[in-house]
Amino acid sequence: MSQKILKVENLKKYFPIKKGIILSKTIGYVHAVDNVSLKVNRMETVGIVGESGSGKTTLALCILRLLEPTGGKIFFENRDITDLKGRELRKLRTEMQIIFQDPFSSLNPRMTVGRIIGEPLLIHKKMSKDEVRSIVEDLMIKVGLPPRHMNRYPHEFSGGQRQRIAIARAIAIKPKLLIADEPTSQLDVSIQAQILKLLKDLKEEFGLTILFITHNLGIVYNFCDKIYVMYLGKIMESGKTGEIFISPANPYTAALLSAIPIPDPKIKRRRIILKGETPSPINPPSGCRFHPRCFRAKEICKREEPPRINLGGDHVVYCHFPL
Amino acid sequence: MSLEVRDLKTWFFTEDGIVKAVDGVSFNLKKGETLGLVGESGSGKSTVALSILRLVPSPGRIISGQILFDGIDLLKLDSSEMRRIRGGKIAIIFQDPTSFLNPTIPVGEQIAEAIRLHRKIPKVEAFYEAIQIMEKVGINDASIRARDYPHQLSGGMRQRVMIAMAISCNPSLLIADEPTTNLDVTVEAQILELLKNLKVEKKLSLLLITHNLGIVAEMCDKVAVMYAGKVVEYGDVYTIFESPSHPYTYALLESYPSIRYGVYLPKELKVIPGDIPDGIHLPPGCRFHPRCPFSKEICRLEAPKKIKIGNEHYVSCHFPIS
Repeated sequence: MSQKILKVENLKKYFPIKKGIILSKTIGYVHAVDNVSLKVNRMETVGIVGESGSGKTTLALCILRLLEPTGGKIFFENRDITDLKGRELRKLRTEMQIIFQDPFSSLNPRMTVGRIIGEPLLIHKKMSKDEVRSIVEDLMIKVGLPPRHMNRYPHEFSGGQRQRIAIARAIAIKPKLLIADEPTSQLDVSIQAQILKLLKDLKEEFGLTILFITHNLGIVYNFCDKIYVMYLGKIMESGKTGEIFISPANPYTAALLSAIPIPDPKIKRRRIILKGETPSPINPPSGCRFHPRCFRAKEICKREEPPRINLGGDHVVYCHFPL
Repeated sequence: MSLEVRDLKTWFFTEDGIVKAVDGVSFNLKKGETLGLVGESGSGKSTVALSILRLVPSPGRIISGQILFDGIDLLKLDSSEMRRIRGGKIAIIFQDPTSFLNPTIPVGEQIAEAIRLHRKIPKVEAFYEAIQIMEKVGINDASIRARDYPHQLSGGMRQRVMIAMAISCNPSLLIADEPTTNLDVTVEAQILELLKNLKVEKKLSLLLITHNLGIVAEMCDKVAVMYAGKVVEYGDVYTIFESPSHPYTYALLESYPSIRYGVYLPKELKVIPGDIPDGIHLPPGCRFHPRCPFSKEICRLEAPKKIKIGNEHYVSCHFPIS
């Protein structure tokens, strides 16, 4: 078995902007994901970090084949899955699962919790109802829900419990890759810690690989082995979590890290305050997409896309003037 | 300016029962200080803010207590006197500027309107002043932006407009209710920087309501930790972060995914078991006891009294951590 479980090569996803209703014309594209490459090894927890509009969720949906990429290739366990269809694609769904950000809209309000968790088993494993029932009971215990609540509906649960239901559903068919898209951003701190702990425990037990999409750098710091930093559809920097946090090479990463408020009143540090906000991905800036906000930008950054620079190990940066 | 809240109770009389959102809250805030009200959802921190401004929505009511602002009890004022204070001496900024701003009026005019509510000056003059305030809060090309509608501005810009409106009448107390929760980290840093500068320049006192412990550590002088309608611990920011005394404060800090600057030392997050109680079915005795690792028989039976354990350090717990 090879180490690599997922490889993405030059992935692009453009959304057309249409004008007119009957004779509609495409008048432009949203460059949501633009030439993104990444690698994920088995059993790793990889964080994809970015602010809103960075394309991190679009990237996840493309990997899951819930969106058709505009270009590029996706390999899962060394198999090209970019163009899988029909039965093959359905089989792939048992290998990858996702947990969404909003546990209020991701669960069907008209299904009982037992049915929600058991549905993937009925669809993919063709099990009998009794078999499903006993597995669902086990799953509920694993994620910390009392099995006697099996016949309740999602609205009877709190946000944290709903996220537990979503996790139970995702792991029911024992996927190899779990994509978690901001799974705790709507939860309170004490509940967030519970969900992160649960994911960590399940990862050990099931040998999961987790792709963790978040804007919360604190979670990445404590939870992920590797990080990809995204900005406006591009990867800016990637590497082991320690490397990125100790010596960020891209000015954007450095600014992002310095912007996090740290819960220690004794720490006094100089903040890098960036100018402006993330521009629109419809007409992204030329050259390096970060140049209008960058404090190191020079003429070349406007004209040319930054080169890929390998800083040793897994640490890679895309920048004309890395720190 | 001085603010003293004494034994404030604000309850909501819903069809399902009484929600004791704020249930006996006391704290004070001195001139030029920043007090952080910290808590998770349902702790009552936003209701405290609305109570100070007497803006508690129905079916909520302030049941009892005193809110002394410069020695005057705000709860005793009639509505016209209260209107002069609201937006005049006490201003508030909310989490979501989109629902606060009127979508059909240019932002400059909205700020001008706020100014004219408190000062009798001509419209043109107020608009000109609005532009100056917009410049002050860091909006570039303010004279052009003033004619923009809220939807034409980004989230960060809208938050700046709301701050401009709040400071337009030179308040002495600014209440900020989760002012950066909807913003990206890099924009959040900009807004926090702005608030810090304004506070010094305008000699503002700031009541900062947040669930983000990082922001508290960075911005606040004093901290009041709230849980299920009560202040469980109060103290200066160093005491709260370095030697928390209430098990809830301690657990909250331990479950917070924080980073260390310049070193890589990930920690195993500690977990607080159980869920936050809803306001109707509150546990008896100490409200934190079902989730507390140190709870004993007495915690279930008796609500803990507020005890002083240090200089301006108070805790409500039967078994405080020393």
